[in-house]
Parts: sequence; C-alpha cells; structure tokens
Amino acid sequence: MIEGRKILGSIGLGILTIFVIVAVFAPYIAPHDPHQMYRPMEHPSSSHLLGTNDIGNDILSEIVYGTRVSLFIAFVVSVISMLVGTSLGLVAGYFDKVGFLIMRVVDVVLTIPRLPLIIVIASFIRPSIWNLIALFLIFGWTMPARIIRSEVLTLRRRYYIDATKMIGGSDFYILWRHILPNVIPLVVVQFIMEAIHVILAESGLCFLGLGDPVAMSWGMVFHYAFECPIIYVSDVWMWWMLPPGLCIVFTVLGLTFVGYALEETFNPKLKNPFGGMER
Amino acid sequence: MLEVLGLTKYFSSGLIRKRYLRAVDDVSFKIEKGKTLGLVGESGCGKTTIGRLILRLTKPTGGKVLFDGIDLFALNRRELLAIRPRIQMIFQDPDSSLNPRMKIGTSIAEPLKLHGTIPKAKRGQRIRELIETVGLNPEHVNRYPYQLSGGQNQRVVLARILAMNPDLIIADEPTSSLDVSVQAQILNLMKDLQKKFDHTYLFVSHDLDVVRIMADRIAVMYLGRLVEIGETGDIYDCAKHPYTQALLSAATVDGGKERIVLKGETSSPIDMPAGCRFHTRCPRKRERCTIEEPELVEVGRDHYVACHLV
Ligand SMILES: Nc1ncnc2c1ncn2[C@@H]1O[C@H](COP(=O)(O)OP(=O)(O)OP(=O)(O)O)[C@@H](O)[C@H]1O
Ligand code: SF4
Ligand SMILES: [Mg+2]
Repeated sequence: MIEGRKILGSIGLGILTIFVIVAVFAPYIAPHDPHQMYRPMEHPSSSHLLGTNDIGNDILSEIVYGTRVSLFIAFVVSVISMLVGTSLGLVAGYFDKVGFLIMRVVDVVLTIPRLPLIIVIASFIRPSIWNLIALFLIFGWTMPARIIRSEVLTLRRRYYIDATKMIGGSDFYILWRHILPNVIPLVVVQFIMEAIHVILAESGLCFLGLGDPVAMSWGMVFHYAFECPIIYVSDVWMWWMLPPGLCIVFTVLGLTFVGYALEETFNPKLKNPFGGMER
Repeated sequence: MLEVLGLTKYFSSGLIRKRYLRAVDDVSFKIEKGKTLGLVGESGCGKTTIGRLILRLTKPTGGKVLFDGIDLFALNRRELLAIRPRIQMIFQDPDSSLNPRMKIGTSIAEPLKLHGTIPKAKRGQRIRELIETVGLNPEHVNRYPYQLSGGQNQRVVLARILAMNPDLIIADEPTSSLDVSVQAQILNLMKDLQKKFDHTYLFVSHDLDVVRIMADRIAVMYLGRLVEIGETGDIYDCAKHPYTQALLSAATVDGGKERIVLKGETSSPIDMPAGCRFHTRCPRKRERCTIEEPELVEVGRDHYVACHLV
C-alpha cells in the first residue's frame, strides 16, 4: 500500500519535473519561434514534428511555450492563494472574533458556484492572463483559509500552546513557531488541489474562447484547433488537438499522484513520523 | 505564598438560553512557601480548571488569587508577562506538552530564548545543566518527542519549567499517564527538585497514594467545591467528610478498612442538586443536606470540613 503510493508519487514527480523543465527552458527546447509563420496545415515532418496550424505556426513550439503560460498561471494563483489563505486561516483559527468575521466572508464566497461565475465574469472582462489570475484568486484563498482554520482550532488546544504562553511566548510567536509548522502539510495538499483546479479551469475557459488570445496556453492551442473545421474531417486532430490535451491530462495526473503520495507522508494514521499526539 | 480566595469559574454554553457549568465554585486555600498542597477529587471536579485559573490561561468568573501578596487577576498584560515565569504548570499529558515537530534541545532552549535572561553564549551551558538536573541524556537533545518515552518527555517538560526558575509549580497529574515504575522516578525527581530549589507545589491528582507521598496538606474537591482540607496526616487518619472517607477506603493503602462503595452517579456540574452537592451519593445524608449547602468549618487545627454532620 505504502510502496504503491511511493511509486505513484515518484511517477507524478517525474511528470511534473519534465513539464517544469520544458516551461523554464522553453526557448532552448522549442524547435521554432512559435510566432514564426510557415506553410499552414502541414502534416508532421522532420522539420515540424507536430506539423503547423491554420496560420502556419509550428504546433510543437506553440505547445512548448504554452507549458510556460499554463504552469505560470497555475503556479502564481496557487502560491498567492496559499499565502493569503494560510495567513487568514491562522488568524481566524487563533483569534475568535476576527475569525468569526473572516469565516463569514469565506462562507459567502464559498456558496457562490465557482466555475459558472468564473465563466460569467470572464466573458465580461478583457481576456488576459492577469485578469484570469485575478479571477481565480477571488476564490482560491477560501478553501485553504477554511481548512487551515479548522486545523488551528484543534492545534491551539494542545498543551504545548499553553506551555508556550506560560514561558512568555506571544500570540504571534506561537502562530509562527508552533502552529504554522504543523499546518504546512495541509497547505501543501491544498496547493496541489488548487493547481489542479486552475489548470482545468483555465483550459476550460480557453476552450470556451475566454482565454488570453495573446498568451497561448495549452488550452488556447486546443481551442484554436477546435475552431478549425478541418479537424473534423481529417487526421489533423491527432497532432494539433491531442498533444495539448494530453499535456493537460498528464499535468493533472502528475499533481494528483504527488498529492496522493504526500498524503501518506503527512497522515499520521498511515505512517507515524510526528503526529498522533492528540489524546 | 499562594492564597486563593473564593475562586469561581462558570463555563457558559448556549447563545440564547444560557446554561452554566459550575466548574469551580468559591474555592479558597493557601499554600506556604516550599510546601505542597495536594488537590484530589474525581475526574471533572475542576482540578485542572483551578490550575489554569491561577495561570490566567482561563478567565475567572470571580474570586482572587494572591501570589506573594500580588493580586494576579488585577495585573495588566505587561505585569502578567513579568510574573509569569515564577508560576509554571505541568500539564496532564507530557506528549502533547511538547511540540511534536520540535527537537528536544530546541524545546528546552525555548524558554531561555523567550525569556532572554541568559546571554546567548551561555545558553548551551545552561541547557546542559538543565538536562543533567532532570536526569536526561545529552544525546536526547537531537531527538523528537515521539522518540522518547512518556517519562523522558515529562523530564523534558520539567527542564523547560526549571529554565524559568519558578517559585510555584502547578503539577496537573504529572504521572497519571506513566507506568508505575516510571511514576516513582518522576515523583522522586520532583521531590528532589523541591528540596533543591525550594519550590512550592500545587499537586493535582486523583491518586491518593501519590498525593500522600507528595503533599504536606491535602484539599479534597467534589463538583467544583472544596469539601475538606487539612494536614496530610489528619486527612488520612481522621477524615471527616463522607466523600473523603469513601475516597480513602477505595485507595489501596487502606485495604484493611472496610470499603465504602458509593452508589449512584456523580451529579452533572450543569444541573447541580440543591443543598450539599454530594447528597445524591452520600451514605449518611440527612433531611437538611438536600436543602442547605454546608460551609467549610474548622474541625481541628487547620482542618476544615464542609458537611452538616460535623
Ligand atoms: N473550556 C471549557 N469549556 C467548557 N467546559 C469546560 C472547559 N474546561 C473544563 N470544562 C468543564 O469543567 C469541569 C471541570 O473540568 P476540569 O478539567 O477542571 O476537571 P478535572 O478535575 O481536571 O478532571 P480530570 O481529572 O478529568 O482532569 C468539567 O465538567 C469540564 O467538562
Ligand atoms: S452534608 Fe450531608 S450529604 Fe453532604 S456530605 Fe455531609 S452528610 Fe453527606
Ligand atoms: Mg484535569
């Protein structure tokens, strides 16, 4: 059981590492400039491994650069969501009155159906990656805030919190030194969930034509392929539509595997490195 | 040294129709410097709450606590911070008294760091001293609490407390979660430390055998109230309160005497019975007991009992 998780985790980590390398070193990896126009609708060949699209861009190069865009959006949204969500969750769990207010805001935001509203707003604002990031951030902080808060509510009842107050530790010190390290595992798991959500939601928006037409993410490549009537009557979809789709699927799988493996490391019931002290 | 006067704590529940749980109700006692007061009573009678009130970890409903003549409840934040090192508490469970993600060495260094009385350069020396004083092994500093036994963790807790140079230590069942053999070691260590540093102890326990070894005086609680308080010898030889007598008869040391088995359940601290709180289980209750609540009265030298029979 635990062995299985480890293997899956390594596979997931491997997949993610490859994508991150591709994103970081895109200019070196991409065979062509993605904006360069060649003969449109070429089939795969040694000079264009995945052929060219309807306006003659090299599809492989587009996908390589698209990795950057897709991962960048997911990364930025997840990092900021975790920073904001964790801070608010810590404060909300530790200080009752402020916590009450923060949680009412969370409740309100969480009752809004997330994806439909994102679609509605996205169709009104100018589609750019920064607008998309801002849009995802409206929702991204709420889940981590709620989950971290409920964990803090139990953590703060442990005796070592009182013991630290007794030796003169301030509230800030206790939160930083004693509570935060104990919620980090949860934050990591939430980070992964948020990244998965953003990758999928961003692709979905692109698919609906609500993505940033300038910054070509995987979703946009897919979208343009989908809009081109030829794909329905020929094999073009195999090198134009399938590859970006697979990239999305594999990233999500990679994240899921890593999350699954971490659950084992973090869950004291599966393995007991630190936890299980509650009595 | 420590004087507790009419200490009261009600926990309220329910937003609209408030219900009060009387965890500690008008409790008064004194402890002299260098002495130990044993606080006994069954689970839920309010022992821990008294400790937390003295430490100001819980807000009191009423009463006063005088520590060296200083009214602890009247202190502001800064004054409280200044006096806190002198009063320390050992919590019920040694395992959750230490942060599971902190190495033992870091845990012991923490009070020195926060308190800042010892210059950084001398901290290492002080930590080694503390480790030796509580009988730990220097190589334990690089371990985590889960790698140590309950007894060893309790020693770590003691080391942290000693680092603050306290005058009063509230020990909340410090050995109840330990094996019997380890219990004796920790109790002996605590006695040695008391002699060495002239500590004053409020020693909370439900184990009368343990209290007998440790305490100079004993206070017996029932449902938030003190029912009897006196010198350890007096309590063991001539307990006056039916509840104390029942507790004693159940303890192993008094195996010779006839056991008094209490019938019935302890009343809930929310719906307290009128009159004497013990009357629902008291083998000797009278008519009067169900109406009037008994006050503590002196029955011998420094020996007080709250029962209508005396
Ligand atoms: N924070 C709290 N909120 C509400 N009720 C509480 C709280 N803390 C304690 N109580 C209640 O107050 C009463 C006294 O609790 P306390 O922990 O002081 O008992 P105790 O004598 O230490 O028991 P034990 O031997 O089990 O440790 C109990 O009925 C308990 O349920
Ligand atoms: S007052 Fe009455 S009920 Fe209470 S302990 Fe004494 S005899 Fe028993
Ligand atoms: Mg207790």
